[in-house]
Amino acid sequence: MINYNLNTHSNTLSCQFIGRLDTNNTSKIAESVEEKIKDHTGDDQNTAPKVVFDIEQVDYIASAFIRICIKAVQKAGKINFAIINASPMIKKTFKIAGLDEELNVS
Amino acid sequence: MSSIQGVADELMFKATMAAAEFQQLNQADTDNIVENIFKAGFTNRVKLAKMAQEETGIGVWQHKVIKNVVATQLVYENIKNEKTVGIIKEDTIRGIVEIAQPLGPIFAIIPITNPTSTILFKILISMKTRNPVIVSAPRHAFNCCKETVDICYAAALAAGAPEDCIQIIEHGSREFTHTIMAHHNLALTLATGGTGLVHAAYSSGNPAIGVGPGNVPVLIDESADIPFAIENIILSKTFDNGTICASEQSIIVEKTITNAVRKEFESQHCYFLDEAETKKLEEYAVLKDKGTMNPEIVGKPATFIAERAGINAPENTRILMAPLNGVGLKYPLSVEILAPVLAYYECDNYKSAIKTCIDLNFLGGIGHTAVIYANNETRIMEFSEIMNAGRIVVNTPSGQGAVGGLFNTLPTSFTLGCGTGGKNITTENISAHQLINVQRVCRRKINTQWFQFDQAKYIDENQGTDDILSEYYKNY
Repeated sequence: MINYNLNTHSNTLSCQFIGRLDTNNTSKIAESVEEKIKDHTGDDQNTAPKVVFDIEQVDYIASAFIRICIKAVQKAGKINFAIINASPMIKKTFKIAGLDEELNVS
Repeated sequence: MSSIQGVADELMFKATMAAAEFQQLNQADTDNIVENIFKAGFTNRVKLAKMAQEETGIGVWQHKVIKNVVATQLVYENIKNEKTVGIIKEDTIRGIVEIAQPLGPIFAIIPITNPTSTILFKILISMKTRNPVIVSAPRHAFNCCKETVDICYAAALAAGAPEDCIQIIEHGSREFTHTIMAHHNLALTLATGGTGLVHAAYSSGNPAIGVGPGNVPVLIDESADIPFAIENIILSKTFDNGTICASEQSIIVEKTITNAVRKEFESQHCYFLDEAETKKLEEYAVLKDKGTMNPEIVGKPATFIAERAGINAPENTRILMAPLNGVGLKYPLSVEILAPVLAYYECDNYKSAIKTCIDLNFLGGIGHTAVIYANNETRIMEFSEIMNAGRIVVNTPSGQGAVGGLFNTLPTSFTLGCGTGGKNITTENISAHQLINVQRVCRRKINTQWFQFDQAKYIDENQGTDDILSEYYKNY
């Protein structure tokens, strides 16, 4: 089962994911995560609200999760989005997808 | 951006996402997916065979069921215990550890002659190696191919496979196929099809595993068990009305046994054409301008072909036998014909028979398959060494023998490599082991002989080769 925590500090929405983000688990959280990002970023990217995905405790990601990341970066803008604490395997997953730079994966 | 490029990019984006996810799966996860697909394909073997025969009008549905069984049950048996994830081999003495990595998205091109079975085969070996697969189906077999893909994809997802791990091109064209073949995100094309298609795959700039055309000569040696040989030849050449590219194309016999061979073929309802009938068949069965088989006869029964050619063959005819005096473009029936038609050569002696086999082998079938029926080991080996064929099938029905798993221990495969003669990279029966990148971890194992030798001797121009080598190998 997937858990996730959403916290907002000043203008940064921090999303901490825990567990296995396979297709099933991701589908259960996709809508609410996307809704929170939409609420946080609003329609104006100029206000520069930031979104950070912390995936330190994630051991697997499905392509469905990568799609959430793509939507998030489209909403927040490249300079305001980052994925942090990726394991080497998940770093490689974003690399193979060709999205590690676009999504600021570290 | 053209719409073709846009659609190709979208397809490849999905495949790339699937590849990224796939490489996280372990061996157990992967094997579970493969088992689920095998069972789903096997369960639907009859439905898919009937669909394929009805849609294409090619072959015999009962035989296509057997093809589907071979493509699922035997292919699964062949690959199920194979290690394809992580460490696949450890040699502690040599200090080498081999690790398997997936290739990435694979483009699977499917022939109209064996559509559902080839898809089942290519999906199983691709999933076993954690590679997403994009299927390109022939236009006249699209519905049965789509159904096969849908069944396999549902089974894969149910077992936890990545989304979009199996896709099919919905509205393909030659240009679209070439766009996918050359796409920068594609890892490999698995091309089973005509020469032009395979050549396009190899010319795309991406890696490809293709197959070559067959033109399988069958030598029946004096030492052969003639009734046994004829029974096996008919079993293979009539299977699915001769649509397997490894099936027999020409029968070559020495004069000393022609009576016995003819009598046996005739007793099993194979019809020998006279000169005029052979001419009629040539005109109908082979396209004059191209020198290749008429697509209309592919996978059709012998009686259908005889009727269309204006030949009055008996109703129970199983194979049309065309006696020929030579090989090459002047003798149109000496080329590959995927239907129950066999060229038939009577040769003065063994050497002449072998030379006819060489001519046939090099007439469009180089590197594919050759067959000998004999009980003389010397002749079997002489034939095997002189033929240029990836598979020399001995005392075995050729189609079923070359595919492997039924009559021998070759890997079961629906993609038969033909080596450089067929413009292929390998002569092997293609299977899962060709669909991984093998990386080698090399532990330090000092070559003491090298390091104990005085390296200055190599640098010294005055040192002779014999002196250096005798010193280097001294006491070894």
